[in-house]
Amino acid sequence: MIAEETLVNQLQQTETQASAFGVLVETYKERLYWHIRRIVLNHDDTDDVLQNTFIKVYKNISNFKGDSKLYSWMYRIATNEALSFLKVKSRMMGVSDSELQDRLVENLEADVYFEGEEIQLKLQKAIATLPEKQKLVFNMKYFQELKYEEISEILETSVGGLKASYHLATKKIESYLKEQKEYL
Amino acid sequence: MKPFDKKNPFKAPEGYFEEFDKNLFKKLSSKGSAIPKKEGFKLPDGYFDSLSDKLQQKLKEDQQSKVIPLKSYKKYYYAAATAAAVLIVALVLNLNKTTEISFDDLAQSDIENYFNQNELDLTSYELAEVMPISELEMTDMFDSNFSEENVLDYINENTDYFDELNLEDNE
Repeated sequence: MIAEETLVNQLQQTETQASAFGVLVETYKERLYWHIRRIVLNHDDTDDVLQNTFIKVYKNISNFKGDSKLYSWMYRIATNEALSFLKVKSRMMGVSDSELQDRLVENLEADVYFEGEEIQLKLQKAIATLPEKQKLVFNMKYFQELKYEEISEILETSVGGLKASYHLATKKIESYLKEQKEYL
Repeated sequence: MKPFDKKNPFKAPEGYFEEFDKNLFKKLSSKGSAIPKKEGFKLPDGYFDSLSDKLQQKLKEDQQSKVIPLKSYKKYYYAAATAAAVLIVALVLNLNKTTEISFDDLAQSDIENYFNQNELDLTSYELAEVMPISELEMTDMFDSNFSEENVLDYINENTDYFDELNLEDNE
């Protein structure tokens, strides 16, 4: 794998920019795809947000100063793009953020790109009940298995705060799933 | 007295200790979180393979759409700019001659209309944050002007617990 510094250098120079961008896309496309998918849930929306993310990265790479790692900078752009995509969507539909979350999860039932198993759907319903920050932390820790230090750099929050958010999120999801089980 | 037999009478199944670690970890992992690790998301076949091409295409389109041949229209721009400048000067002169609408009047009516016609998504707390409370006078709330003295008299006569209003403390 190419060193991050070299890649950034190549991305910031006109002659090498195009090929370096290809490498960048290859390296990060899957990770960023899943990060965005867990926020917007639907494949087509994820595709839009992912492309916008990469284009934003390409256009702003000259402003990247190397204060943070390249990948956390990209994750931050992806997170912001995904969250603002949802904001625009809820405004266009004239619904609140939580109503939009409910609808996104409901739509999963008919989504061809979602395996309609009961437990997976319930898990998404449980995640949808979490506040935005807890949702992000939970997905990044539980599914993406990022380290707290990495999440802290992406979300610009303290490690202690993240641990608390993750703990709360896990407890809420577990009790939601348990409650659902008892109703059956 | 016969000494106790030091030989351990208990026996463990063969290979028990070799298997112990494995069994323990198996049990631990199954007793772990009740949250499934599998999410159920799928994506179209070959999606990631075509992503790079799609992105390159989009970037190309983006760059192409930015290139606007300015040169051929340059002379028209000068003419248009001159015409627009003349028009603006004429309008300004004309406006100054005939009407005397002050900016304050316009803004006031615009703001009132806006408030009347649009439902603001602001809570009273949010409104309070932007309202210059310290600059507000009691008379700003009413159409007719009451003198402060009259208002105080009114409150005095019509309020049972006038003292509890602590008016002096708030001055």
